[in-house]
Order: sequence, then structure tokens, then C-alpha cells
Amino acid sequence: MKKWLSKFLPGGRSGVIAVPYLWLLFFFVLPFFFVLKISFAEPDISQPPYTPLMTHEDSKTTITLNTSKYTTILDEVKSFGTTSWSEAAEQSQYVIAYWNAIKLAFFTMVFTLLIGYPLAYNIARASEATRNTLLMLVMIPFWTSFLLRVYAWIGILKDNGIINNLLLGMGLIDAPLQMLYTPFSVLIGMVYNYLPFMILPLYAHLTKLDSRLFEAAADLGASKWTTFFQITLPLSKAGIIAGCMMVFIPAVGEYVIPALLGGGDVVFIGNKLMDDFGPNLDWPQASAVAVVMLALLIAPIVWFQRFEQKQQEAA
Amino acid sequence: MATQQQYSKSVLALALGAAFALAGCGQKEEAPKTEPAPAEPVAAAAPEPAKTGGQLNIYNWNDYLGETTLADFEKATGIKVKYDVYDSNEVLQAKLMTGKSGYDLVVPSLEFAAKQIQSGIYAEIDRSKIPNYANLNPEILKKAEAADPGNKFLVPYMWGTTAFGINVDKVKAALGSESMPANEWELIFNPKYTSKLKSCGISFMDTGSDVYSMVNIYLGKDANDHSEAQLKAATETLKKVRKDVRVFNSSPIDLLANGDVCVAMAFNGDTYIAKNRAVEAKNGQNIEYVVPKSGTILWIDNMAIPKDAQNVENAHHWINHILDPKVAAGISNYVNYANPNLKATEFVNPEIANDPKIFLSQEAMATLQAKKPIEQEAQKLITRYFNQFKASK
Repeated sequence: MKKWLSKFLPGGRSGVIAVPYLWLLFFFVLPFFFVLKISFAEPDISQPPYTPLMTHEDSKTTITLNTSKYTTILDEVKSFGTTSWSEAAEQSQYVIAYWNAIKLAFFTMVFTLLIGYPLAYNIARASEATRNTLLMLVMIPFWTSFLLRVYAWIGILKDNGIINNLLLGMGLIDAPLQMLYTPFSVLIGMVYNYLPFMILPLYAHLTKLDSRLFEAAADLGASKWTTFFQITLPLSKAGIIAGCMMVFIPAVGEYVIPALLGGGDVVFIGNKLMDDFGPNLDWPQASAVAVVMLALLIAPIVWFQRFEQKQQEAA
Repeated sequence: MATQQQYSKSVLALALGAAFALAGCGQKEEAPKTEPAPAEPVAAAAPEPAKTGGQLNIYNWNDYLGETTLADFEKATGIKVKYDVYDSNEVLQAKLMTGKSGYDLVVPSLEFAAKQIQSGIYAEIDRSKIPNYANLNPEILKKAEAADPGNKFLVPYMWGTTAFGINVDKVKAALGSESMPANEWELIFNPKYTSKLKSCGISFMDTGSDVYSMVNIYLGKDANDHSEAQLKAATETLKKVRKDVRVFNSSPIDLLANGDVCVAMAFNGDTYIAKNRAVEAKNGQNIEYVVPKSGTILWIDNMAIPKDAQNVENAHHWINHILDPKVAAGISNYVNYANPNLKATEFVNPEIANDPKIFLSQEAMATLQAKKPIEQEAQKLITRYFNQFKASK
């Protein structure tokens, strides 16, 4: 029986490898091809609300690829250079939305790194027992609903929220500070929610560092700071890049946090996508926006993989 | 039980014995539960002649039923209802357009339903199966024909207006010596007023078509004029008040109820929910809905049956149930929306039935403009200009 089965099942090694690949195939590659397919269709008042790519008539099959959804975005890019910023904000809404999304993701990445690195460093240096407690503290907020955590920030930041009431009560301010519905509140929400994505990969790399290196550095008379900059930081480079990717990539497409904590004055690519998908009922355009976003994100991923490969070869 | 006790004796190991004793206890506890169980289904399965049974999958807006609407229906018909909710037309549309949503009855708003009908996703309503259809207000049916000529696919569910709610005391304080404007729209569209109300907070709806319809009415234009020239002019008007608008939210119930904003563009029902919440919380926020004299938007939500519905028969039973005067009144009493049921008014609580902002007078009804279906190109322009307005802070 076992022998009979093993004919059909892949061997242990390839079986284990197959699982993540199948996962990627079914939950990433296939859905992506659906999106890609829709992006070359045209919106249509039908169910589903876009035209089929393939039509069969008189034993002739025709494939129609409609690229106009991409040229819409491309035209905006072309006209972007020739117009003033204020005109661009009105005319090149996709370009501006991509730019806003990338800017927000970048600042989220920088702040999560600045806060996350010292945290991960100290967790990695802590004793075994405290280390697990600290890691739990990083992860426990993730057990509550993501939406609840964002709503909690509304309660903290709003005009008659916790911070303003505290400051007013202490007499430090006369009128409430407007913190909610500003770029500031969006950034706080982003950094708070993405921080664990930075801490965990950093921690994973920092715990692996060989402690004998630090002892050697100390023996040779290096100060703590010198040791950090000469040894710890360069050795944790891969962790930093992994953490930055983990934060930057999902942050670019973030829709919920700006929608709940923002004042609506900054339009992100997530909002544009929702506009096209929802009220505009232009699924092909929404798909094209998503495909372009993916293309923009693939560049840093490819670069990271090259970097890792080089490092492995060097090691 | 006996066999298990014998078994545990024969094993004799103390720990194991304890474990089996525990297992035995567990079974003992379960046993009485299973005994009366068969009795229940028998009771439930004893059908009265009228009961049809079966299943019905409903997809409706959140907070949009009376307290006992569902239970009464299940009791009367024996039909088991699976009830899911959504909070925006976009969410509903995405599910319907993809197909095979699994729902037998949905409740789209009029302006969305128009495109959905054109897409051919709805089944025709069979009026012969709905004896209560005659209770419907012909005026509402006439307005619904804007999206559904001949009322073939939609049955009006509830209707209301979109304008704005105010926090009476905060608005008075913020305006100071300035008195309330004769044209109420100026409170949200004239910088003279918005610059003062900014301090206590203004929120706009995050739905471009609603906002532009309201500006159009303020500017004395047709609410449904979404030509590019009119969109441009309206956007200029909107940009002047942009810096005073704090947040965009299409359902600002919490914002109003907690006093986070003092003027909020909103559906009438959301404003009333906010008002009631503030009263319940005793937080001193005095909230009121404003229907401008120059008129505002009329919306109608409608019951419709998707073409791929599995339980079409039961969906008709549900529609008939909703059109029962007492049932319709029960919903209105709970959600503070007007129903389109002519015979229901006598069962509606007097404070709701007599509220001129919910059940509008004939004259007020005449000032209302129903939202019409929007062509795709016009909708894209609306979205584009609305984003321009939002980004112009």
C-alpha cells in the first residue's frame, strides 16, 4: 500500500518544497493572471462587468487585447513632466496617487526601522526567558482585530480624545490640537501597524549573530559604538533589508489606515483603485492600476534577491 | 455507562481509572442533553398548513430591519433565513457583478440598481406572488421608474433624504453673532459659515455623486446635472470650503453622536441614529437633521432578486412579508426611515410618522430630486473632480 502510494506522491524533499510553491501558484500566480487578464478587457455593462478577451465566431477565435487602460496611466506619466505641480495634481491623478503611496510607504519604512532596530537589538540581547516575553509583547497586539487597533488610535488622537484631554487638563494647551485626520495621524497608524513586520525579521537576524565576534571586538579594545557600527550593523544588513521589504511592499497598497485616520486630502493608489473598482465600475482600469503597482514593487524585490544571492555566494 | 464502569474496574490503574471516570462523567452530562433534543425538531417540524419551509439568503444594509422582522417571518413561514449585511452599494455591486453571490434577495439603492438592471443580473418580480404589492405608494414607485421603467425588477423598501445633520448647540456657539442662514445649504457650502463652523468640525460624505448633487441644488441647478461644465463650476464652489472640511465619511454616525463634528452631510436615518445614540449616552450632544427648504436628494432602496437566486419563491414570500403594513411599520419604528407602504402609517410610532423630516409633506416631497442613474463616463468625471476637490486642501 505504502509503495503503491509513493508512486504517485513526490518524495519527501520535493514534497516539502512543493507545498510553498503550490501555495504561491494558487494564491498568487493564478489570481495575478486573472487580474492581468481583466486589465486587457474593456468595461462592459454585463455580468461580469468587462468584455471577454476571447471571442469565438464562425469557427474563428479572436483574442482582443485592449491596452487603453495602460495608456491612460502612461499618458499621465508623459504629461506629468510638462505640467506644473498644481496642474499635475488635477490631471495626473494616478501618478500623484502612486507617488503619495510610495512616499507614505517610504516614511513608514524609515520610522519602523528607527524604532524597530533598537527594539529588536535589545530583544535579541536579552536573556532567554525575557526574550520570549518581549517577543510576545510585540506580537500580542496582533491578536486583536486590525480594525480595532486603528479605531483605538482615533480614540487616542481625536479632539476630545485621550491625548488632548490630558494636555488640556494639565493646562499645557488652551485649545485641542488637531492630530486626527492629518498626515501625522496616518503616519502614526502606519508605523504602529507595520512595526512588528520590521521587528521580527530584524530579530531573527540579530539573534543569529555570533557573540564571539563581540567578545573579540571588546578584547581588541573597540568601544560599544564602534562594535555596533563595525560589526553588528553590517552583519544585520540582510535583516534590515528583509524588514524594510516586509514593511514597504504591503504599505504601498495600504487602503484602510489612510481611509480611517486621514483627512481625505491625500489620495493614495489604494483609493484610486477603489474608485475604479467601485463607483466607476471600471474593473479593467482597476486591474491595470494593480498590475502597474506590482511592476513597480517587483524592482526592489528582484534587487533584494540579487543582494541575498551575492551574500550567500560570499559566505 | 455500565460497560464503561466495568471496563475501568478491569483496567485498575488508578490514573487511568480516574481518566475513564472523567470520561464517563462527560458522557453522563451529555446524555440528558441529547434526550430532549429530538423533541425540539419534532415541535419545529410540525408545520402549519401555510408554512412553506426551505431556505432564504438575504443580503441587506446594516441596521436595516425591525427588531422582530426576521423572527416573525421565520415563524410565519418556516423558512430559514441566512441574513448577511453590507455597508456600501459598492460592496454589494462587487458581489453581484462577479455572479453566483449565493443571495436570493438584495437591497440596492436606486442609482446603483439602474446599471445593475442593464447588466441583466436581476430576475423579474412576479407580482402575482405578492398580494401586498397594492400597498405601495404609487408616487415612490413613479420615482423608482427613473432606474427601473415599469417597476419590473425593483420593489421599494425604504426611502429617505440625504442632506446634513447638525449639533444644534455647537453650531450656535460657533456661529456666534451670525444667525442661521435662510438657505440652510449655506451652512456647508458658503465659506462665510464654514469658516466659523470649522472650529467644531465639518464632515462631508465620501461619495462624489451625493456631494455634487447637493452642490448642484445649492447652486440652483438640476441635482443630476453631471456635465463637465457643471462639475467644473461645482468644484470651484466646493474648493472654497475645502480647508474647512475636516473629514470625509459617508456614514458619520459616531462623529455626530460623540460631538466630533458639528455639521455632517448624512442620510436622514444615520442622523437619527446619531441623535438617539447621543440621547442614550446622555452626553449632552443635541443633534438635529436639516432638510433645506430649497430641496435635497431623495433616495430609494429597493428589494431585488438576483437572476441566479436559488430560492426565488421564498424571496417573493419575503417581499410580501415586508410589504405587510405592520411589518413595514415595525422597520420604520426601529430604523427611523419612511416606508413606501400607504397602509403602514397608522402603525408607525406617532413621533416618527409625524416628523416632517422623515415622512415629508406633499410640498416638501415636491422639492426633492431623485438621484438618477449615472453614465459610466459621467461617473468617471465625478470621481476625478471629487478627488481634485479633496486634494485641494
